[in-house]
Parts: sequence; structure tokens; C-alpha cells
Amino acid sequence: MSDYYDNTAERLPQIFYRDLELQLKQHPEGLSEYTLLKKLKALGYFGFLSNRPAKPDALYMAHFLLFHALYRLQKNNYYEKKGIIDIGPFNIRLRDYQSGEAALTVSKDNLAAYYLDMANLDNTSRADVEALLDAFWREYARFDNREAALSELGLVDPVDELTIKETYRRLAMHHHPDRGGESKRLQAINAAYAHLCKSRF
Amino acid sequence: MKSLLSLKIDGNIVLEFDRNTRLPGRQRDFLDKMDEDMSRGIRLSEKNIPEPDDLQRGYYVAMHLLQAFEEGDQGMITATCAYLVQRLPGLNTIQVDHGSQGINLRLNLDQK
Repeated sequence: MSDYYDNTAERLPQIFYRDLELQLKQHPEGLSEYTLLKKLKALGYFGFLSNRPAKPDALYMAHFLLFHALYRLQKNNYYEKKGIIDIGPFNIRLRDYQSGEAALTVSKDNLAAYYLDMANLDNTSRADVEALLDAFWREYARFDNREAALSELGLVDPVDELTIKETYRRLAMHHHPDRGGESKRLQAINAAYAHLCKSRF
Repeated sequence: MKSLLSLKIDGNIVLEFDRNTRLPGRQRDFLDKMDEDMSRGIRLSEKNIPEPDDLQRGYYVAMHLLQAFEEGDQGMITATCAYLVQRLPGLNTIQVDHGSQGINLRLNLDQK
């Protein structure tokens, strides 16, 4: 899978590692992979995610590159005794270095070897990724385009994700049958929101 | 046992996940890592749970699934669904309701 970048240095330039570490330092409580990717994307990285909806292979490439960089940074931080990076599915966090714990963190992670080998990205086919991210689950949305889904929520582009989420929550609460709303209207709101969730990164 | 795990919000199925999907080895390692993280303790319904049991882990992961669904985080949706079908094979529906008290999340398991 090398449609986006062919050159390893271009995939992850040195400055990327500095920006990644800076993001981790700015969030001592940790942050999710999704939030971290969005912050890095806002800094100009992962430009291949700008198409909406992001394609499964683009999402996978971003995931792999981020984890590759995180595990490299984790190793460097360990050898330079600078800090410990916890790389977890729910939270990614940089914390103070403690010698015994650092060795344990770096040595026992089964995923590190996979993500540190860039060949694993190149050898993953588009079909593999689609099987993982796309075919596994399907949503029940009756909207076939973003404009129609936004319209159901009373919105039009340009609109940001926070506005969509807040509008959805407000409408879902307002139209809930427990509060006198109609279930058909609530179904339409949920379907519109489900479509918008799948169509954005 | 149903072959699909459903996420139902306010009475509507918003996504389904095929529990028969075969996971590659690396993906299984990812689920192990989720367990490893949760073994260090989780926070659920504003309570710290130092040693969560399977069901508490299921609720914690389902909360992350709901958050991922709201954010459109496809990777996390896949990972959390995969975890739930693997670790709670009797789970058929994750039911979410926006009630007057806030969000109510329930895991519906097959009767034994």
C-alpha cells in the first residue's frame, strides 16, 4: 500500500517526531489515537486524510504511521532516559522516566515489532484493510450524501464536527419519545448522524 | 447466538458487526493490549474499579464504542466491536438511550 508516499523519510520527516512529542507533552493526561491524529492533521500532516469520507486504506496508513512513530519515540525516550510512552488502544501518554518500569514497558509490547517494521505497511493490501475497517460493520443510514444528512439536522456546509455533534445531541434529546417527541423523527435524526459519522475523519 | 452484534441508539440499530469475522493475529494482540490496559484499573460510572471483571470491562469498552461512534472514529469502532464479540460472546445488543437522566447504556446478553 504505497499510493500516498513512497519514501519513508517523506512519510515521517524528522520534524514530525518533534511535533508528535510536543503534542504528548501538551497532554500529560494522555489522549486517544483519534484525537492525536486530528491534532497532527491540523498541523499539516496526513494530508491524504483530507478526502471525505476518508478511505479505509488511508485511515489504516495514518494509523500505522502514527504507531510506527510512537514506538520509535518510545524506544528513543527509553534509551535516552527521557520518559515513558504508554501506547494503549484507549490512551497514549508520555510520563516521567522510571528505570525499572521503562524496561518493562518497552520489552513486553507484542505490537512494537509489528509497527516498527515499515514493510508490514507496504505488505498490507487494500483488500485486507477494507476487510478490517469497512466490511466488518455496516450502518443503517438512509442518507446517501452528506448534504441530505446535514439538512435533516438543519445544518449546511461549512459546518464543523463539534457543531454537528452538539446539534445531534440537542435534537436527539428534544425529539426523544420520552419527552413527547416522535420516534420517526428521532430515527431520521439518528440515521443522519450515523451517516455523518461515517463520512468524516 | 445471533451472528451480528448491534449498536442500538434510542431504539434504532445504527450499526452491526459480524461476530464471525476472523481476526488476524495482530488484531488479537490489540485486544490483548486493551485487556492489559484495563487490568491496571478503569473508571466506570464515576467509580474507580481496580480489578474489573468481564462485564465491567464490557461496559467500559461499550462506552468507548459509543464515543467512537459519535466521533466517527472508525478504527476504534472496529476495535471495540471486535473486543466485545470476542470477550462477551453472549452479547447481542448494546443499547443506548438518551433519557432525562442523561445517557443510559445497557448490554443485552443472550439468556443461557
